[in-house]
Amino acid sequence: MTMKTVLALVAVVLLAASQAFAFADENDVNNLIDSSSISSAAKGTVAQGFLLGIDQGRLTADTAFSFIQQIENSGGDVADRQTILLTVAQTLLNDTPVEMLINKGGEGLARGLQLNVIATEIVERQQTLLEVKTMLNQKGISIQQQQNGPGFPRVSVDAAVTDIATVLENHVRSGNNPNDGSLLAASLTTMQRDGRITSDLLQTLTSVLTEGELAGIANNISNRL
Amino acid sequence: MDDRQLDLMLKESFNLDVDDQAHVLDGMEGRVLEKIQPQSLDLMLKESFEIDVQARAHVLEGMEDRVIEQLLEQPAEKTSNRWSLFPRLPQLNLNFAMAGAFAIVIFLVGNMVGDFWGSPFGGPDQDYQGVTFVVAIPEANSVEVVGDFTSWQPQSMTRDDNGVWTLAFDLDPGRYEYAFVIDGQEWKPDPLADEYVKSYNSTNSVRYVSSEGETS
Repeated sequence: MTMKTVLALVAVVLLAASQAFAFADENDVNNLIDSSSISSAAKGTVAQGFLLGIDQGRLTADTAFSFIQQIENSGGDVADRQTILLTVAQTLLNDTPVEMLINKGGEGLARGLQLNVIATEIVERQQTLLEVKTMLNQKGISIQQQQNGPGFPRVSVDAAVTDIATVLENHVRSGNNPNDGSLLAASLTTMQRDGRITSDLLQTLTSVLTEGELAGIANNISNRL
Repeated sequence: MDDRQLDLMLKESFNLDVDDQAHVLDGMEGRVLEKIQPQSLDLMLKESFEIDVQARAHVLEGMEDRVIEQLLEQPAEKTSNRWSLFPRLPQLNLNFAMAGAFAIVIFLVGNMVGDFWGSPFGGPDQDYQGVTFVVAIPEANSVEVVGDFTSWQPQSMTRDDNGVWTLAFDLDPGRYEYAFVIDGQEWKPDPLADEYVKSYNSTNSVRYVSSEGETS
């Protein structure tokens, strides 16, 4: 085997690998949304939301592409597809994390559920995320807009919002009483276990979160189900 | 007088003659050089060289044509391919070349795979922790893990001789929801999970991964 053959083999393997693990970029996401079956009016909002989320580092272009593609290929009603994509996009435009929504969408598809069931779950959980985020903002917990500026890192705040919303959703959906007094402890325990939340944010959350406010959001979840 | 005695007499006679005339040779070299002037020596050498060149002049006739003809008759070197655009590589041992190429491919593909399974929701990569999922289902033909850390795409577990299925992941510290899929159909919770939650009217398992170790 000559040196030329070795180099040619390396080139072939690299080309195959790059194809197998090709990453989508923002243009791919934009093109996918543009070619999707949702209405022209919805396309603008969906593109705006997803591209903002990618730009802010809330999700990767690859994750966005994969999620939109899965929803598009799910075979469900166009209205349900549009509801799911619009809900995720609007959540991003509201400066709120979408990790939980995309996870629940992926789980629903993996379980082979109807798209309308998935759409309903995502809309319900979006409300919880927005309520938790609003509550934290009202307590002065916000995302740092510039380095060394006031606030906390986006990754940490997003993780806190996601963790609290997850605890509240799981508590209610598991049939527990929203007023049983366990929500604050459960939320703090989950956040302590989450390595993404900085210690100073954790300390602030410990001092400002109250059981009553968490129970209020949990009751809203219960009312929506 | 025999031949041997004759030889001996002649030899002794010769030696006597040489000894008698030896004084003639003393200083002969100096006397010869005094007779020959430096200019005449140069002239003698030049004349001798010109005679030699004239004698050999016929050899030089048509030499240029003969040289070109011989060069054209020689086989051309293999330089007429695209690789000749690059400097010649040293004659490396191909085993080393193969090993190097293989290492480069593994490195690049490994990076691609690592990026492919990296954190899908952005944020800095944290200290990955090895997390092993284990479940004993001897009667199963296949067991897969699905979870938010696999984007809910099934990942096949490996069965040992006792029907214990295992699969390890490198995960960031955090909270993970997942389930086992038995024979591609039935979703089952993990008996060893840290907690359980309801999801889509079913049960998901939850595993916490701390920054220090597998689970907290």
